[in-house]
Amino acid sequence: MSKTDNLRNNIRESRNKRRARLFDALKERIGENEILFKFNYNLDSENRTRLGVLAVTKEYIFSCHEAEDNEEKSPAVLTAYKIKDYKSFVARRNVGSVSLEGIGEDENDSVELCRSDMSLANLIIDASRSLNSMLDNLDDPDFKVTFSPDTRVCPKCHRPFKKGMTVCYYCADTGSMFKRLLKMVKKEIPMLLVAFSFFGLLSFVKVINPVLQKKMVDEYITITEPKDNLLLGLVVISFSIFLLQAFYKVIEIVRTNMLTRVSTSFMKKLRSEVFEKIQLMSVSSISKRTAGELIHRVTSDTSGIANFFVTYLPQFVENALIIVILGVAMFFYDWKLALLIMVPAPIIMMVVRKVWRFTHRLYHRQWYMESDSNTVLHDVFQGIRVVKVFGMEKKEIKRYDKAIKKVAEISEKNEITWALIVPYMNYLIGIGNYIVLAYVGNKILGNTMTLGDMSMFTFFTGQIYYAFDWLSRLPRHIISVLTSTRKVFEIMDEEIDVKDSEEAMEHDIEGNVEFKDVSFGYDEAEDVLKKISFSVKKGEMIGIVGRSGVGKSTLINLVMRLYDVRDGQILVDGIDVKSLSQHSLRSQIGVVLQETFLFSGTIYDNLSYADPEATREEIIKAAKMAGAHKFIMKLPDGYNTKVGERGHTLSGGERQRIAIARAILRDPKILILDEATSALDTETERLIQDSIASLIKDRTTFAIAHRLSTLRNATRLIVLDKGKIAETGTHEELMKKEGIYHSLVLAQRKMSSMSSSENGE
Amino acid sequence: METKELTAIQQIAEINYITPENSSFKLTKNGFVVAKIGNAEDFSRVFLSRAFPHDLPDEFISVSDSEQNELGIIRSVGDFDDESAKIIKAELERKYFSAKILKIVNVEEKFGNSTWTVETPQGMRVMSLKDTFKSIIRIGEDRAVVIDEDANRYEIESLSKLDKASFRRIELYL
Repeated sequence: MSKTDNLRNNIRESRNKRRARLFDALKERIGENEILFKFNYNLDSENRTRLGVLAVTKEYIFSCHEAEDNEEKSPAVLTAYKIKDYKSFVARRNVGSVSLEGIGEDENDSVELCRSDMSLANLIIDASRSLNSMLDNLDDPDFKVTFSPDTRVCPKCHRPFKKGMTVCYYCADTGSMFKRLLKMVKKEIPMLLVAFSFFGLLSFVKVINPVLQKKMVDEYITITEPKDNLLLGLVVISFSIFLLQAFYKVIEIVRTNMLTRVSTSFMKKLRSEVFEKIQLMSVSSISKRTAGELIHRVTSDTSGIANFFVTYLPQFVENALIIVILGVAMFFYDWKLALLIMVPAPIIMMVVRKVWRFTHRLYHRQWYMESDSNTVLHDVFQGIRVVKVFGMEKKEIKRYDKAIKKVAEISEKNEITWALIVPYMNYLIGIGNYIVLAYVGNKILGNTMTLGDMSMFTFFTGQIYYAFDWLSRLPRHIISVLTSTRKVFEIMDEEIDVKDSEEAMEHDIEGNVEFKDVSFGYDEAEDVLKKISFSVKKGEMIGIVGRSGVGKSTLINLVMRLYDVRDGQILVDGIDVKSLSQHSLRSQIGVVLQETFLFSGTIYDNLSYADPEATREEIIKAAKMAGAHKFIMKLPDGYNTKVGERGHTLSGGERQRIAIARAILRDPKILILDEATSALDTETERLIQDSIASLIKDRTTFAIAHRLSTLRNATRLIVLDKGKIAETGTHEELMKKEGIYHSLVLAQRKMSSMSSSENGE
Repeated sequence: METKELTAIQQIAEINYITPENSSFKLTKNGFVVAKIGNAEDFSRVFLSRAFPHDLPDEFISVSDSEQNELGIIRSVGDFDDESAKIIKAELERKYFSAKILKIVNVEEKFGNSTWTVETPQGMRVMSLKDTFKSIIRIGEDRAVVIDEDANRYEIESLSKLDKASFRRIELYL
């Protein structure tokens, strides 16, 4: 256990003791069986550390906290609040803390019940929900409050598990991660073992070769007396060395081929598993990470892991074998020399490793500085229009100069340090050769060793020191691969929050949709939609209206089940969407969003994405209906025009028409139009209104539009305000009502008349 | 027409300054800040937010009602009398909570995560950073805010005033 783990444990144990004491004080006032739920907090209203326990009974909230911080015997301060004295409870998210407030009828009656830093935020947020549900059900004597925050902690380090986490990566140990990786590479293990055995052969050849060379030097080159069959012997030995080298190369080629096959197969498997997992994750889980981060996981991290298995692990085997085989061979020839070489080697390499770590730290910093200066370049080139328009060229030159000056300074410092270190490093690594030279040279002078011996030992020593040097760098590679592994496993182990139930069913949707008391928020503390209830009959068009950020897009995201509701139910034809398979649900929903994304490929590919079975005629027909055919035919390559990242750039309106054509091809039962025509000018919008009208005919449609005039034909309009349904009715009914919708329409009319006058219309 | 439009834009962009002359702040019996702003008849609960929390903590303070509608902006807390300024400052301190890091006792890195043991005025703290580099926000040349994986905030007021050993422990991430 590390020093930090010890300290963490000590802090936790001390806090647990203090909390137990507070709870005892609380129990003196109320019976334990009266408590419906309780939780801990750790700050007072001034953000000073004060441990506390909040307990809720049927009628009261009891808050018990220490009067002083860090005082083992600090007296407990107990306060009681009557639940029905408050009209609501709010979990207020501050910056770095969260507080629970009881809101009274009068400002003076409102009170802060407790406060905590962010580590206990989920408890306070859940408590506010539970308390509000108690308030809602004050008249129901049978009401049972639920309080079930996620209190899972790592059994080893006691860190709380974050949402979606199933494994603690602070506690993941090297052994278990390797075991898991080995399981993934299970199929390739036989081939990997054969490749490893080739390393044994290669190491063996490395021993034989210098032995033959020794023989050649001692018996044929340095001899002073004439010898029989001298030439023949020399040819035989030379030929043997040649054969051995050829054998070495053949084995090396076979081994490399095998490892390449294992590597590509393993990498493919790993990449497809990670990609598949990401595809299954919910939008909220994916949105927690940037696209760059996910690309890195799928490409660089997986290749780093595969590379370790097929490059570093085999090289480890090779170098370990070299040390063992050459070490044994040296002991066999001269145990004293072997000891002189082998004993200091690990010590020297530990010193070398320390120096490497130091230089690595220096270069790591340089790498980050360079990355910073590249960020400046990236920013400027990406935003070059903005730079030019604002005339900020000189400022950007200064900014880049500053960034590269830092790089230059640190790089100069590093180079000087490097130049000072390297000669000493080389001296240390080559120290074995000096030992051999001194020891063997002395023996040669005493005629107990030969020049051949010296050549052989010098070679052995070089190889052994090289192997030790390589092994001393292995930990860095291990750390790097484990970091990649941890990040990849973090994705693989993440709990899928929007998933199909075991009994998820396929269902031919008719198009009836019902929201029953639906509440939802992206942030745990704040609901975007609060207790939304309405029902839509098959074929109706529902316009969703409201100010920006009121939850219109959230509402349709819930229809598509991109997120799961927090409370309540969404029913499609009377079936909870959670009981339907996600594929069945979404395959029958068509969507036209404000921003249309086109994949790299042709226009035809992008259209057939909606229905891969569609014929060419159907695709042209859909494009015609969406008003896209005309502009497509103006392009030299027609439907074969490449679009997307590396292709032809389509305007916003053109992309939108492709999206409408896609929706037509899909023939959905439920249609979602989220600002579908907002990117179009009024004239173009008018042109495709007919296509939209034919698209929505007989389909349940949810439409969001900034231009309220486009929703005029909706069967019903739902006006959202502050997360709730404020008004519902047809355009005429809502205009008569003179409420929120009425004021939005008037504001828009005013804007449009202002812009018409400005244009001289 | 132009005049009309400019007026509309000006209206939107107009900063409604809350000054000692047009407002009055006090605390409720339970310590919440209430204010009477402009022509309001009664005191009602207000919420304060810093527009520039890192470099101008006591200037440009947005004042909102409980529906998160901005009522106006306090140009500088210093413009108010001691009593009101005290109330406003205390409320801001309550809202923005970050522990000051006095010393970095230990940093352990494992598989890209790091665990920091730091000394704060409230005692020793152990915090976990999921991605160390991303968790440190540099403010100017000398300050840094560290956000741990729970979203707790810690502040290093002056990197140059940290002791040498503390600085060396985090130098790589800066």
